[in-house]
Amino acid sequence: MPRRALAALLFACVVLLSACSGGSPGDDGPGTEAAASGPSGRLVVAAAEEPETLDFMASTQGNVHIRTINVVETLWAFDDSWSPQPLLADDVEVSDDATRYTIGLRDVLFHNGDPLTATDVVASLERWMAVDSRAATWMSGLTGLEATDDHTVTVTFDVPKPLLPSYLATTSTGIIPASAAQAAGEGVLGPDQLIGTGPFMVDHWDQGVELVLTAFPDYRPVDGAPSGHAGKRAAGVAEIVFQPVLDENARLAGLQTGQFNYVESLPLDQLDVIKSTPGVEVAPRRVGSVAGYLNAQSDLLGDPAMRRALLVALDLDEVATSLGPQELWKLSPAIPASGTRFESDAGAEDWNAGDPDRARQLAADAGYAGQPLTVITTSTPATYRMAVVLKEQLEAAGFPVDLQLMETAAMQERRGQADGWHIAMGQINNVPDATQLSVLSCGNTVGGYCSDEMNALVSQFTQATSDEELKKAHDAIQELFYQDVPYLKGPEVSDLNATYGLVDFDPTTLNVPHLWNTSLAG
Amino acid sequence: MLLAYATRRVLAAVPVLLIVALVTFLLMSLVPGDPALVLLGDSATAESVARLRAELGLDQPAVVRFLSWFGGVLRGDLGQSIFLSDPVATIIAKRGLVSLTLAVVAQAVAIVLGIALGVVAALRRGRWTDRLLSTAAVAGIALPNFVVAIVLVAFFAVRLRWFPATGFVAPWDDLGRSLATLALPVAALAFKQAALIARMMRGSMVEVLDSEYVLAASARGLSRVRRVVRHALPNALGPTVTVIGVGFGSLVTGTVIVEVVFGIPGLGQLLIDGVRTRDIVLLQGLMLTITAVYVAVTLVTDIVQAWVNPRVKLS
Repeated sequence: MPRRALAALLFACVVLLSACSGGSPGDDGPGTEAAASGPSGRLVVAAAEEPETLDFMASTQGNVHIRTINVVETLWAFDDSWSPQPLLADDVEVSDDATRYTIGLRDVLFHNGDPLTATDVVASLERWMAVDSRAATWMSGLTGLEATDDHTVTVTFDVPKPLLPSYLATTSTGIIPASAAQAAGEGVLGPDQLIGTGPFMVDHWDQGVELVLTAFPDYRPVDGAPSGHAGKRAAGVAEIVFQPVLDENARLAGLQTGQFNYVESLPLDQLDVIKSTPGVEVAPRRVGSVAGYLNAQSDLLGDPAMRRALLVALDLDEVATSLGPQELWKLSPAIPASGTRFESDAGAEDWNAGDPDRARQLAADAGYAGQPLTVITTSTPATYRMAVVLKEQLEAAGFPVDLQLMETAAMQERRGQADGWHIAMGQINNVPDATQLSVLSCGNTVGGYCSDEMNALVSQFTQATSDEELKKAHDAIQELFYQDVPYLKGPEVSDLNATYGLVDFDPTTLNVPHLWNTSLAG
Repeated sequence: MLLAYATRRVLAAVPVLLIVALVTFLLMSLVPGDPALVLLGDSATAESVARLRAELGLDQPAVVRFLSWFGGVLRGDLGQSIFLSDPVATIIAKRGLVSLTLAVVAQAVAIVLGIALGVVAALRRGRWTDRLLSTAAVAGIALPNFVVAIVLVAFFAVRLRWFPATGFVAPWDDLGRSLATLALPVAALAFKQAALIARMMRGSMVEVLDSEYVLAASARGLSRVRRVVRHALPNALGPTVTVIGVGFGSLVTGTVIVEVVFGIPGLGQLLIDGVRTRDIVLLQGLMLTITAVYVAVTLVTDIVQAWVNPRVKLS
């Protein structure tokens, strides 16, 4: 009996083995499913991370917004130069002193078939203000947020708010039905409540496995040439599938075999291999600047003069060279980043000075006596490489460095504490202007930088009513930034992303890439 | 007798499971990292982090959290994951099925190959076939799974394009595509296991073939096939069954790496996500499940060994 059973088992396994060799790799490739009408094809995204939530209002994580931007829309949207253009907003009247906005809405439908109304906008913005900590600053002085009629929202402030369109172009301010916004409240917005007006709607989210979006047949686009997130949008494929593929080499292999159409965070040292693969286009994604947050709460770096000494020691050309091919980084002293309408080099004389002797002198003048600096970093390639070069350069200027490598969650906890570190490596995401850098505001920063003078300059900027005033105020913020040095701004970096078999993909300069207006080749 | 033996073994596993749960909890409590911070990101205020911690029950003392979770386990409830919307038991059942499919198919392939190659090597003892197979077996044991996996992907997926480089399709959804997606991960996993089985099989087969009763069978004029299959093989299988059983445990742990290399959404990726996000409830559920599987496999191995070889007595 045992022998017969074993023989049967062996036979079954042999059959299975022989069947294994009969599979075809092309079977599960992208672009195989076609809809009966409308756009066709299946665009597969190999994502480097799986988000913990799809609550785009509460979470500022990029891996959330790269998914939800295709689903929910905002009142305004940024074009490629970070200027806000109307999206769901239609006719907008602004009072002369920029304290009152009367926003007419376009006639569009939600994915559940209901028309967009002013009540939905009010409920969505109320929820956003409750769950996003940045809203408190951005919407300060709010005195009224009302649905004047079905298609008109009135927003009033007791201070000028010329930057409101810019704030409401941020992807966290997307509009969902009032019923969904109220049901979620301050809790987590569930995937079934992620109902937008965008060109794609959520089909299902099997967390850790796949997020499937399908083309919204009743989508009504805005007029205008596409630029960044602004202008005309259209679903170019029937389905978008986001699959988390944690290993970068697995993502690369899937790109090379045509399994994926859009792949995030490929290995930097494989750029030449990627470029030479037929059908593949490199699409670097500008993500932000590598940076070293300075712990202004620590005894050692509490004095801005000491923080300036560290800045003076750094040769950022050397840091940038360590980050890989030049097309994946850019050096600029502008905060938050180059490419915004406020870009300037005001006050940045000490940035990229690379002068260890002057740094040593500045530190000595600030009373520094050779205490070691604790630098913490994760193994994320760009931040880790900058940390290594930074250690060498600081030590050359007389600052002994204790470099500690830790994993992301541990790092997040450590740098949230007042002590135990001096420099925390990280990444500052691209935002439209410096006032949206959370590190500059009191209360919610890593390192505890808090300055009344900076707060006053930020207020001046947010209440400026002309372009000239805005630019002047922004320059003043940058000048103070380089006096106070809340963080060491390193090179602006891009993730090495790539597409396979995509037509008209927009490699936007904004930090959240989108997948509308692109279709599959052939 | 079998039932009594199995019951005793299952009861003996209870303290093991309890210790595993406790150690997992203690380790995760010691490791720095806060799920609320992971969920909210860097720009979260201290107030919103504190509010979420309270919502998730993370503001409770560690002992209270552990006892509350353990009370749930006694009632058959593994708890609710912090990040994933489903209960832990549902998530593990769903993702575990993926890993189990991978492990079982790899095990089946390894058993067939391992036993066949081990027998061939024993029959060809001392000749070049034996030397070649033995060298391959040592290489198979020495090479880590992920190295084999990377080589397989580079050659069979990227260069030859015979199989997809990543992904998983369940056999019950589409058998053809499933076999294609399983081919490379199964090969990567089965390689080491087959090598282990072949090595053990060769050793015990050589010993059995040298024994007097096989010589007697030969003297009685039995054919070579009959001597090997009916007389030698069943007696040589005993130690191999133990290797197969114990090896299944390492196969399950091996899937963690292989799943990451092939982008397969099984328990391995779930485990990594759980550690990354500090989802302690999910991790405890996972560790309990993996331990339970290990205990069950050892038990089944012992029973199968007794079944295959009547000289082995369960006690």
